[in-house]
Parts: sequence; C-alpha cells; structure tokens
Amino acid sequence: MHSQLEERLKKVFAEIFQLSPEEITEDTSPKTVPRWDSMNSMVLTMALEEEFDIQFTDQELVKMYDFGKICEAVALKTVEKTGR
Amino acid sequence: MESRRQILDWLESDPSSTRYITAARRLDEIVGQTLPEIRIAILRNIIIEPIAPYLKVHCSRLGMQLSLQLGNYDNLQQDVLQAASPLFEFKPDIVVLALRLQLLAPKLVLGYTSLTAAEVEELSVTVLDRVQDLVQAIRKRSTALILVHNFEQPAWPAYGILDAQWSHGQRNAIARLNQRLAESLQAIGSAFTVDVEGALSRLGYDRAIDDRYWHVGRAPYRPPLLEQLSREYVRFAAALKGKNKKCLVLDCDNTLWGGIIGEDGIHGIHLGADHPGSAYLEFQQAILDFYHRGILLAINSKNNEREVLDVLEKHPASLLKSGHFVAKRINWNDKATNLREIAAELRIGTDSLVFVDDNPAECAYVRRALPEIEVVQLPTDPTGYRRLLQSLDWFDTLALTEEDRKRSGMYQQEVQRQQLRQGSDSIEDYLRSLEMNVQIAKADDYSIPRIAQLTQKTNQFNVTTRRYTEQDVRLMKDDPAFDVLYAAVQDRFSDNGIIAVAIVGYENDLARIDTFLMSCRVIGRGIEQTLLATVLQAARERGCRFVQGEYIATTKNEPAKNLFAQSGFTSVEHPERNLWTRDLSLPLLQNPDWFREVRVNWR
Repeated sequence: MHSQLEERLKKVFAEIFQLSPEEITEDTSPKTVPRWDSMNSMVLTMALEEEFDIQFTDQELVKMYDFGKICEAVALKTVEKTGR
Repeated sequence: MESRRQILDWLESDPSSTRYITAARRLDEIVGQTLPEIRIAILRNIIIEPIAPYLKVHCSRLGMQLSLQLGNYDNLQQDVLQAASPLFEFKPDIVVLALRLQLLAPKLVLGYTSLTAAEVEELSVTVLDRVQDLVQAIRKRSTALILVHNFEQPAWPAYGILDAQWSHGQRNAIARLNQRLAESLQAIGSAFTVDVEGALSRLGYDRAIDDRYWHVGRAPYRPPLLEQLSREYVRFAAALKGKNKKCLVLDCDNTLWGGIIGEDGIHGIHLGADHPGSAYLEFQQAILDFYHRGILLAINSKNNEREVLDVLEKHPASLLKSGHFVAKRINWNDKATNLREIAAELRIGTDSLVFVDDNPAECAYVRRALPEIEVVQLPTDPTGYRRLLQSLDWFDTLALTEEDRKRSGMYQQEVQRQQLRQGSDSIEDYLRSLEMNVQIAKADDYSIPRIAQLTQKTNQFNVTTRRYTEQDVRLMKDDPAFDVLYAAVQDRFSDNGIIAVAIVGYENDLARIDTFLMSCRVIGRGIEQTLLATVLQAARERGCRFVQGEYIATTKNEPAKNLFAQSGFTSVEHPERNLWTRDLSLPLLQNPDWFREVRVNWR
C-alpha cells in the first residue's frame, strides 16, 4: 500500500544502519540490527523527520522499535499532513 | 573510486542529515588520503554524539582528516583531573567543552524570577569559576586549543516583555555571562568561546533545539545546530592548521556593481544608495570588512582595464578603490590563467584563493581547470550577495595582529620594490638599495601571537611545518632548553614586522632546529641567512658542538628545501628522515652585507 513510502524509508534505514535495502523487513528491529542503539535511534528519528517533514511526539519517540511500526507511524503522519 | 571532491559535491547538492552520515562514511573509505590530521576531543554534559558526521565532513571540506574523541557523558571532572585520563593520552589539537547552562546552573535558565540580582551574580560567578577551573586544568596538561561553548539565550525570557527593560533581565544576565566567559578565556590564552548563541540566532530556536530529546535523552541539539557547531569548530581547526584561505578574487561586472561597464558606461552601472545599486554597495562594504581583517583582495575580470579602474577611482559610490586590490588581472585572458598568475604574483598557492563570480560558465570553467580553488557562484539576486560572502568560513585566523591589518599595504609596497628591482643593475644592488634593517630577538609576550600565527600559516618557506598554538610558543619561550627567536625587517618602503621564526631545542651538546620558517613575502632577501647565523651563534655560546636541522617535505615547502645544504650543513644518513648537521667548530655564517643594519638581541 505504501510501497513508495516504504522505499524511501528503507533508504534512510539503510544509510543509518549500514544495511542494504533488501535486508530490511517489517521485523527489522534493534534485536536484529546491532547498530540500532539508542543513539542511532535518535539519529534515525531526526533523519525521518527531516526526510518526511513530520514531527513525532515524545511518546512516539520512545515506542518506535521496529521497521513495521515506524512505517505505520510515518504513513499516518504523512497522511495527516496531506489530508489537511 | 570516488574522490573527496565528488563526495562533497554530492552532499552539497542535497545536504540532508542522512547524506551527511553517508558522506562521512564514504570519506573514511577513501584510501591513500594525505590530508593532515586534526585531533578533536569533546568534553560535555550533554549527548552530542550525532555531531560526528558533520565534523568529519567539514574537516574534510577544509582539507583535514578528523580524529575524534568524546569524553564520557557528564564526567568532566574525571576526564580532566584523572592522572591517566584518556583525554591527554589522545593528544588533542583541540579540546571542546560543550556545556549547557541547564545543567551547570539550572536556576539561571528555569526559575529565574525567584532569584535576586545578588543571587544571579552569585550563580554567574559559580558558573564562570567552574568553567575556568576546567579550562585551567586542561591547560596545565595540554597546549591544545580550548574551545568553550557559550550559553544559549532563552527565546522566551522569564520576565516576559519586562525582561529586556532591565539590566537584571534574564537575557541581559546571560549576555553578560557570555561576555565574561570570553574575557576569562582570553586571559588564559589559546582558549576561545564557540558562539553557540550566534549559531542559534542564525537558525532560530525551533530548528536548533529539540526539547523532546532533551527530556528523553539529554540530547538538546537538532541536526542543523550540530552542523553549524561543527563548522565553528572546524573554523578554529583550519586557522590552527594553516588551512585558511588568504585571498578573495573578485569578478567586476554584476559582482562589484550591477550591469556591464563596457556596455552601460560609468553612469549606467548600478552602484549607490538606491535599489538595485544598494545591494552592490552592501556587498562592497562586506568586502571591505574582509580587507580590514587582513584578507587580500584581487580582481579577475574580462574587461578593458581602463574602464574598470575608472569605476574604482572615479565612481562616487564605489567604496572599493584601486588601492584595495593587491593584484589585478583585467584583460581578455581565460580566468584560470589569470588566477594562476595572481597566486604567483602574491607568492601564495592557488589553493589559498577563493574566486567569486556571478557567471555560471566562468565558475564552472575555473572549477574544472583549478579544482583546488574554492569557487563562489553568486546568486541571481544581488541582495543575497552580502549574506553569502559573510557566511564564508574559510578566512579565519586565531588572532588579528598588526601584520594582518597592514597586509594589503605591504603587498602594494612590494610592487614598488619590484619596480626598484627592475631599475637596478644587479640583485645585490637592489637589495642594498632597499636599505633593510633587520632585528633578531627572543620571543616576548608582544610577539607570541604573531609567532604562533606564522607557524600556523606559513606553508612554503618552512622546513618542518609544525603548527603551534600561542600556548605552545609560550611554553617553549619559558623553557630554558629552548630558544624561540624571531626576525623582523623594515626597509625603505615599509615595516614588514615579524616575518621569520626559528625555534631551537637544546640537548647536551646538540642544538636541534625544531622550526625554521619565513614569510613568503620576503623570500630572496637573505633574511633566513641572518636568522640562521644567529641560531648557530646562540648554539655555540651555549656550548653546543653541533646543530641539527630537519627538512620534512610537504607538497608546498620546496622553497625551503635547500636551506641547510646552502648553509654549510651536511646530510646525515637516516632511513626515514631528511636530517642535516653542522659542526660548530667550523666558521659560522656571515650576515649578507646588503643589510643597512642588523641588530641581534637574543641574550
């Protein structure tokens, strides 16, 4: 459904965690990616906010723990934005 | 295989934070890099780790390779005071203190209205003392440049609209704190503030500060602010490592004025108090600020020379006069050739030039022909010129010396010297007619800033290219096992000030020349011979038997290559190093006989 969005997301993920986009699945998470520590989680959020021109709340920040969830959150945010 | 330039251009076309991360990684992957290293340590009471890619990229942009060490989070005392601290083992060139007032004195930030004026003062003094103690503890064990973040002003001050009315308002109190911080650092030496507050005002609070991550993880700075801060650090680094640019080369038509002089004529071009001429006038004012900081100005323009000179000399609104420019190439040659000639005339490398032009084709041509030159293409809207120029971060120095302020004048006197030279029968005849007075003396407090600056800036006549902070120089000056000597010269045209430096370390009967350098402006006048003669004399009087010199080749210091061979030194067999030695029982060097006077005062 969000395939284009997913592609863009994967690109950001790939750069920050030094993965190839094909390696990234819904279940990609700190458990499967050694570089995904709290520091890179912050770097990732900031990059996503910049890339998609969105803002997460403090509660959302601490809950973003796998690629699937992040994908949903970003999709929701961008829909909210364009829906306006 | 990507080049540094390709990576940086790729980033510049879309400078997103993701690209910074990628670019930093790719820069690291380039093999066989020969950029000089810069070692930066950051001590902090905040999370600032994400600054690393920005810092890496900007170091590379200014021709340096970054080694970064981050101190433990909020562990300053230990980082600085611990006997075997990793900080000092790291041997940093620069130590940054990234401290946020929220953690040093929370009440000055939140809860300010509960403080009396006396309590504000008390807290301010506590903060200053704390920072000063840290800086001095670092200074005791390191000669590194020390950079201290100044403190952010509140965007919404505690007393609302009344805050700005009172000297004890919050913003005024923090402004005063920042000013006192800068003064206390200046007193320590080779310590500076990083203007966080200035970066914040450029970006605005919402782009700079992240309140969420401040609460979630003590990481207050957003990527745009981290990017700005890394640029600020690197400006200091570039000044320290001699990577700063020296000359701003300007096009004329649609750059210094609006319109084309050859077509519009002196009365038709735009330059003056009203739009659009006012934009060009502002640009000229900003260029003059560069001039007064000791940055050389030159012209590179496709025009008839007479017409351009007429504007500079006769246009009533032109602030820039012919005399502000140390070199002019106003002709129909290609601009790359002109730039090469300008560099040669000023005796600086082409990589010390920055070229500014409005014409994209000229810019592209120069970029291709001379990739080492930074090219600034002006925007189509001239009201953006001034801001663009002011944002250039290539021209910083760590001090503004008397020599900087006089620099352009000195280059003009050089033209007069060349004329004298052409009218002389021989080189010796010319040198004699310059009527040079040379003073050689030991470093003192007055000369230290200039000596440190010369070690940072001199690339050509410099045998070892060792870069020193003022603090380094001061330590050697005070060390009985070292002599720090300088030479200054005046001639019939001008006072050139301090233009050569020798630093010699003594060990038993050996005198080792640690540094020997001379400004390129005075190459070919025999001053190095006089300074070296003094070095030998001083070594002999100390009871040394040998003087050892070393030549460390760089891409630029060819002019100093033969110094030792020409001065009676003999080459020493060594597998890696280019060492030279001179037996002090042999006759010492003579001063050239063309100086009018040589005063040596080093004892």
